[in-house]
Amino acid sequence: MAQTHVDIEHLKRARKRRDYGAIAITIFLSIGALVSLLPLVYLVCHAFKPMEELFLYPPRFFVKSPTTKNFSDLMNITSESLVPFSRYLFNTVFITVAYLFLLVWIGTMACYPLSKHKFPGHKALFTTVTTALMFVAAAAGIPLYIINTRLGLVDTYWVYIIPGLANPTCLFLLKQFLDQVPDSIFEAGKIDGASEWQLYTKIALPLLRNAQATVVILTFGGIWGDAGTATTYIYREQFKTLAFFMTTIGGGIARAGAQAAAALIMTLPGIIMFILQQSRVMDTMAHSGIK
Amino acid sequence: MAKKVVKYKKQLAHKRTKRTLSFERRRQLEGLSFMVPWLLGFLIFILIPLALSIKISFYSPTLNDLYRGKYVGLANYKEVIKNPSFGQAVFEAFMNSLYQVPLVVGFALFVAVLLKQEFPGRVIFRVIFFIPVILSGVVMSYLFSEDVGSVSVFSQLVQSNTGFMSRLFGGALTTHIGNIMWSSSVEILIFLAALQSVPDILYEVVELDGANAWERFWHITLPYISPFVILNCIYALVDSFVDARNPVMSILYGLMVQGTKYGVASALSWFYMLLSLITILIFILLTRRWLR
Repeated sequence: MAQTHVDIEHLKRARKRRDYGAIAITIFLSIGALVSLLPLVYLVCHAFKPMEELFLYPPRFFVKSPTTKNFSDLMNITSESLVPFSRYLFNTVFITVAYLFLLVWIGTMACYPLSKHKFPGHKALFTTVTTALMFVAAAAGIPLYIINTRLGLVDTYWVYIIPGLANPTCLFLLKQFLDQVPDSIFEAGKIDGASEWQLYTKIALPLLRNAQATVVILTFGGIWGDAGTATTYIYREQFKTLAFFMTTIGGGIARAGAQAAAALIMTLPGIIMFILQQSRVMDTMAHSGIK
Repeated sequence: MAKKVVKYKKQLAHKRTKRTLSFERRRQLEGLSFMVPWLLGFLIFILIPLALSIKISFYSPTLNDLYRGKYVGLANYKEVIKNPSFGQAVFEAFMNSLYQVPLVVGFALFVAVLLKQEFPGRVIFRVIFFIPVILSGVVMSYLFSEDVGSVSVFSQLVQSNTGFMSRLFGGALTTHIGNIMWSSSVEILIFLAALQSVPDILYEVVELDGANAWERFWHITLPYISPFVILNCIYALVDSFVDARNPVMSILYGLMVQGTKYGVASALSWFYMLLSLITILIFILLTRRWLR
């Protein structure tokens, strides 16, 4: 009897101690989370600031008297663009969808033999790929321009899509994930007479679904907000992207508000995508790290 | 007779191994053909431009005459080494990484350990700590270019709550803290994954032996996830070396825009890449004994 009493006392004390721990953790993480959220909050506040608050010195972080004037300004600017605004939107959506589809397709196809066929030299290849990650992209800019010109990609939709398809980061992530899948599944498939193509489409692709979502999330921002390609490679206005159009808004004090609104609008699709896919992303990241 | 049978069996065995080998090889080739599109892209849009930039780093090309510029040997590299502003930028970039990497990895490990605990709202916190990765492409560059009177976002926050906050943190210090927190998202996730791989039974055992949380961390968690600490250090090193806000990067972009100094720019970027590769190699060699 006495023994039980002591046990209960002990348990109670343990519970209490853990509760203090949980509170401390929650407080610390809340502070961290606030800092992580700051850029987002700043962006939202900025988009609703009236002109005099945008140029206030010293600048203010939060908005005092919010206004939607920036958004109506943006609407006015879009109505007088060179090409109809819907064309920019269509270009960006088309390029993003096509790029992400091809990226995932080519990436998953490449990671399958790299992970499941230990062909001679697969390690060397993988090392080359990971080393290439380290190189400064800017240095290869001008040779890349010449190559794109020679291939006739300049001034077409292809220049947005093709050069970025062989993405080392994506291959790395997909391969790490496929490494988690036991070889025996593929061997079983082989014994049942599946061809390589069937092994890839029927086994590897469905198992890689979470990894595909992660690749999409991580690359979406880059292609959606890509204004540099349009500036460098595209001369015809009807092939330029929304992100490029947003950069043309800037410049001039009068349009700073519209630019802040545009920046907020440009980030919204990425955030919505992430919220929709977040459970899958977390899952992949949790797996890709484990060797 | 017996000899003949043995010989026949040997032949059969030989034939069989030969056949299975060729079958395996055929499957391997079939699988390899899946890599062709990716490899072509890698070759054409990454490797060939890189190789050309090595070549260019030994020439003094102009924009109209990139391939047939004058061969200058190591002159571009000499210029890179002699020019004090380049040396200073490279030094600055390395110093930045030196202090940033341990802070980023330490912070990430701390947060990951906390996020591993059971407490209400854990999932929401995990998502929030990942948000900077999504924002990074579009917004971060906007936020950092948005220097109204060269005051960054963080000092704006500090100045908006004048008094206590600004006395507590100088503007520069808070900016550094923010940078570290924002650049540790991926590291946090890698650590979270690593922590999940530590078997619970180890914790149970030492808990029975009376180890407290502090001892559990130093004697179980840290030794178990040490390979991931090293992986994260390398990741953070690479991340800070190729960061667009790095002083070397801004010099490179400047040289590119001028156009005429393309040979020097190529030399600088190769010089810088070699230095970073050597740093990472040294780091790997030093930490090899902790890798399992």
